[in-house]
Amino acid sequence: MLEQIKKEKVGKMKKLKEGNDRTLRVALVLLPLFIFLAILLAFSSVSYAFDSNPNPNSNPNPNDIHATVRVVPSAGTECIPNPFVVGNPKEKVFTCYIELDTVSSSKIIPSTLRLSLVERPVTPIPILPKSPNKIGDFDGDGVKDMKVTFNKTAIDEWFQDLYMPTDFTFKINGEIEGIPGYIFTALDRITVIKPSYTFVHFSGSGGEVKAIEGIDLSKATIISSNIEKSGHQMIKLDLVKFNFVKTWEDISSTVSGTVPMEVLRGRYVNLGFTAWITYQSNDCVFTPSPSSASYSFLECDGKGAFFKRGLAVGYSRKDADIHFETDGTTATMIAKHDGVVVFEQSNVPLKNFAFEVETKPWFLFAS
Amino acid sequence: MKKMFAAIVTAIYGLMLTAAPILAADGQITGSSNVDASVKVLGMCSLNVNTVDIDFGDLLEGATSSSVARSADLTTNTPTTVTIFGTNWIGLTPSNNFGVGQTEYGLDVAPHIDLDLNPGTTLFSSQVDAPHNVNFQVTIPPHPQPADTYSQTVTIGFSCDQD
Repeated sequence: MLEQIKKEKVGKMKKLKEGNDRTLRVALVLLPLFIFLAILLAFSSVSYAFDSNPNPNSNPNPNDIHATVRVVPSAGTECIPNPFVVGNPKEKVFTCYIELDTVSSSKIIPSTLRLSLVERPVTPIPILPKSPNKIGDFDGDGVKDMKVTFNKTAIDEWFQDLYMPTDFTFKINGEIEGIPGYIFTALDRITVIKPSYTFVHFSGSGGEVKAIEGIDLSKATIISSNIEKSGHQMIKLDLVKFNFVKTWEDISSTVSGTVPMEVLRGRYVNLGFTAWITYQSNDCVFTPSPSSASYSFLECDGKGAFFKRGLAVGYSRKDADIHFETDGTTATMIAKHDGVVVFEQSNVPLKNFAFEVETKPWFLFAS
Repeated sequence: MKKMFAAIVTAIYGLMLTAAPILAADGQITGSSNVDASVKVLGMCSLNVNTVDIDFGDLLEGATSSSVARSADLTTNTPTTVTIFGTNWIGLTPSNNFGVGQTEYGLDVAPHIDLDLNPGTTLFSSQVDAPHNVNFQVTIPPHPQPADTYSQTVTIGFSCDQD
């Protein structure tokens, strides 16, 4: 019995010991787990709170944006001759002086320079092989410039279709030493004149021609004198710069319209005088009237005009209006002043005709 | 996701600790016990900025660049302030420089605010997710501004309440 009780006590103690051992083992297992979980929990919270960058080790300040800009120098140029006369045999080169802002013009790379136009596509022209490429101060503004020259004959080719003096923007592009990849643009405004415009006027008995400012009639070439014994002349002005104080209106596709007329602030010259004085790219065809110079006829191809004489006498055309109608091949024109028809012309061939409208008188007739 | 995991672990472990004595009993003890579980959701914020370099290209004196955008996407569940500031523009030749204010920025609109040196300049504030674009442009000062390549650093920072 005692033996049995002893065994039971031993058994209980063994169980108790085994139980204590189990509790200890559980505790030993849980403690590291608890520590691990606590660390994991703390780490996960902290890292999330401060994880502002997907790749925090790549850049100490991950939200920096680096910006760059290259400030490049502006360029300017002044070219001569201005005005530029197409085909002038005395002028072989076109000279330009190029300045750079904040950078010495000596940094310009001459071999990269190209001359072209802003207003129309042309083949860019390089500088001449003998271009001086000299550094100086052409315009005396204290900024050094580079003198370069271009083949003027090559530039002439750009303007073969020019029919009236026109301002063009000449453009020079080029590169600068030390600023790779940058192509500067320098601009200059040049008046281009293609000579051999025919400037026609009449002078004769009883009349005197007075040119407005800018027209040097002393350089006129007399083409025809005393036309049909009227005492009138047709003259041609070459290589003369003058200001056209009129606008042009192409009526080749216009059905009808009314334009103000201030063609002549005139007095009569012998007979009455009604005219559209003209310049054009081609010579006009003058058809003298077999009966009277008053009915002679001038017709011009291309951009031009025509005039006809003899339908009005002693009349000022100032403030008159011209009404014109066209079917695309011919035109009818009627000029009125104060409601009175002072000129009428029908069946005028158009032939790409451009109608000339003056906003100011550009020469005067005086009795 | 991490936050959710943390919360679950915290809750489970809280249950384990509280319930451990009951589980250790031999089953002869009867009764019930209330278990109080709590979890603290921390304030979290992050900002993802597109930090690709900005090249404004070639500009003449007095010229203004085109606008360039960079995204600044805020993820947050707590009041957050996003700040912006920059450095002055410095040329490769260090004596060539111009002011930070030549750079303008605009939040989702055309640039119109001068960038500032002050790190505390608020770009925007939000307590919810806020994706934005910041548009930048630079205007070169008028003559004389020496030709050079200039650099600037723009920093977009943020701060939020974690408690």
